[in-house]
Amino acid sequence: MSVLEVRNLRVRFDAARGPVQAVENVSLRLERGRMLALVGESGSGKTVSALALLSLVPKPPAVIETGEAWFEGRNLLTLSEKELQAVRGAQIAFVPQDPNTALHPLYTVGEQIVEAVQLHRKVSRDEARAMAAKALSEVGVPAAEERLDSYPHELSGGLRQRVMIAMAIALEPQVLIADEPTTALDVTVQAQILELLAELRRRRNLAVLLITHDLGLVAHHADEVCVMYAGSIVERGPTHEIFRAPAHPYTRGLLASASALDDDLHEPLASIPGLPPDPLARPHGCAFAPRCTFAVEACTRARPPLLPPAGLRALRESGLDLDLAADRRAACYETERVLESARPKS
Amino acid sequence: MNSALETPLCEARGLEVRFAARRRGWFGAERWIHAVRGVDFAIPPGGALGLVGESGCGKSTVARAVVGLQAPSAGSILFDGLDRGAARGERLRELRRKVAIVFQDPYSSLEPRQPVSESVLEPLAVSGALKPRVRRMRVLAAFEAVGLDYALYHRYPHELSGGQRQRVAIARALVLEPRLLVCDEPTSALDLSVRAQIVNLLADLRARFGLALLFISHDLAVVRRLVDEVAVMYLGRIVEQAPRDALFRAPQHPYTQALLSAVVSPRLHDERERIVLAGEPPSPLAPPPGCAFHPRCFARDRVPGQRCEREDPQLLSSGPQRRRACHLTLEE
Repeated sequence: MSVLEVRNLRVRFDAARGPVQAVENVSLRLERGRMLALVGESGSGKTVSALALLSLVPKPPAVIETGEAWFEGRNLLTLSEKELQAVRGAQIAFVPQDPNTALHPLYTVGEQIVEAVQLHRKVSRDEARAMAAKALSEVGVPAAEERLDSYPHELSGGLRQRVMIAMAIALEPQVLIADEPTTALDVTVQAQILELLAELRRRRNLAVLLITHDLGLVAHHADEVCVMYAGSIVERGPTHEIFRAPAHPYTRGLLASASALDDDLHEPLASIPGLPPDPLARPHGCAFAPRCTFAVEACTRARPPLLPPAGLRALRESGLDLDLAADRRAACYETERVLESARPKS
Repeated sequence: MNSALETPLCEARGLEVRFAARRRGWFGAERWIHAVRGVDFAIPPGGALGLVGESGCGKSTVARAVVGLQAPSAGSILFDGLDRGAARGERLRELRRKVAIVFQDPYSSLEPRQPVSESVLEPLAVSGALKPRVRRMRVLAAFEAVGLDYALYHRYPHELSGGQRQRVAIARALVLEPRLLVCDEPTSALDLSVRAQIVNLLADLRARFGLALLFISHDLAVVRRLVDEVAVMYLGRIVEQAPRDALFRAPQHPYTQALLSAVVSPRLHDERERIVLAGEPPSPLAPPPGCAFHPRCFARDRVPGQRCEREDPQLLSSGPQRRRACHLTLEE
């Protein structure tokens, strides 16, 4: 069941050097108990998309040109600031990348969670404190009751991120948006935080939007993926299907350039040549065309729409285990050739 | 391998770096943070050593000590058998030219108010050895070596992308033709598609110029691509050291095992069993007694007599060219 549905979101920034189309026609659907990963490089528009649907982008310079974000029968983008405040934090919670800058250094962890709780619920301080302690212990903070009186600097990075997650779930939201929640953490701690997010999703039937550039996390935790490039979604579909047979050349390049521990070291690491386009001067046609080895003339003329990719059936017939009923989309004219290159070598 | 017989290009012997921590109160005892303790390694000419571990384990401090940005509190750094700490004058300048460093964030390591060509030229100007015309040639050669377009010669850092800036930082490091390049997380600040370009560039530079590498990273898949040998650090010490393939195939220290298992593969069907460690690395201000890893170790129950809690294990030979600091009996 979908809890949050974003349709045709377009966000522009009126920067000093000119207007920048940060997000173009982004549509997303979040479902209960499922994790959707929004993948892309810095500047691809993934964070702006998430912030815009909660009206958390600064306006100006940001302008939400078009778009709807449906949540419980209401379009979030038409709500007043006051109505939005009731939703943000309580029903849709946000976990930022860096807990070190998100927590106030001069207040105890408990005071900060209590403040968030009391903003949304008419409860006494003691009740709010009890809720905070419960949330902290649910996210695996040992001796939660005592931890409430700790200041952020007394906690390690992993514990601080657990505090942020506790704050996010204290009000039992339906949706959790996590923006690179493990990037600032050590590898062994990253594993703990991801276990925690996966467990919360199961236990509370949460819909999770995971914003990340880490394909390892996506492969292991996300049910669905949306790949963004230069402000647009270029491919989306179930994680397993996309990782098995990427239909967009950018997705294909991204997957190939991720190094793994079992890489064949005789092969150089595949890389995508060139750079993402200057957001002030994006090409007319497909934004990826200048870096694309599959590009044909049509790609430079008009931007390809996000459609079910052609060529999946042929690939399945060649023996690759693909689910043809899966809902997949790719914004590319040449998906047949891209998919062809994923054909298992016989 | 006869690397044990020839003089290493760079060697750390009993390297120790400690920092004074704030006292508790006016009359509190003086306290020290041991950032690095008893670190030994040797990099042969053209060799590559990877230094891995989590933040705060001391790997960057080792890098800084190797390039001379941090004086060792004890122990020494040697180049071609000569002690860096004892060198003075012309000999020290010569030692300095043998090693260069590339930092994680090329945005903060380049001077924002000068064209990038000036940043690349600067080490040559400081060394003062060559005529201006020859210096320019060397700058162009460095641009060429790292695959930077000459059109970027007069550009400023903010006009470049992250990947281009990191290429400038590498060109700057290479311009004095060092024999050892120290890289401190050189790809962590870069986007995925650009990261691969820089990794390939470093591999290419090694192959083309016989450049030795001290490569510091927490990205184990990248480390595996670039080095011959790996040292794993935990709380200021090397806990395991081994040739690359041996380490990745059969890690011997529980911490290395956990570190490797925490790497999530960007491929499907990674069915390896995961070891999720409890807790986080301890503070170097209050290192645990015994083995520094024991509070998080999943294998300590297999060591009889609570030895891990009481006795700090030594880094001892544990196979061909490998060392390990752990009380656990190795399974054959």
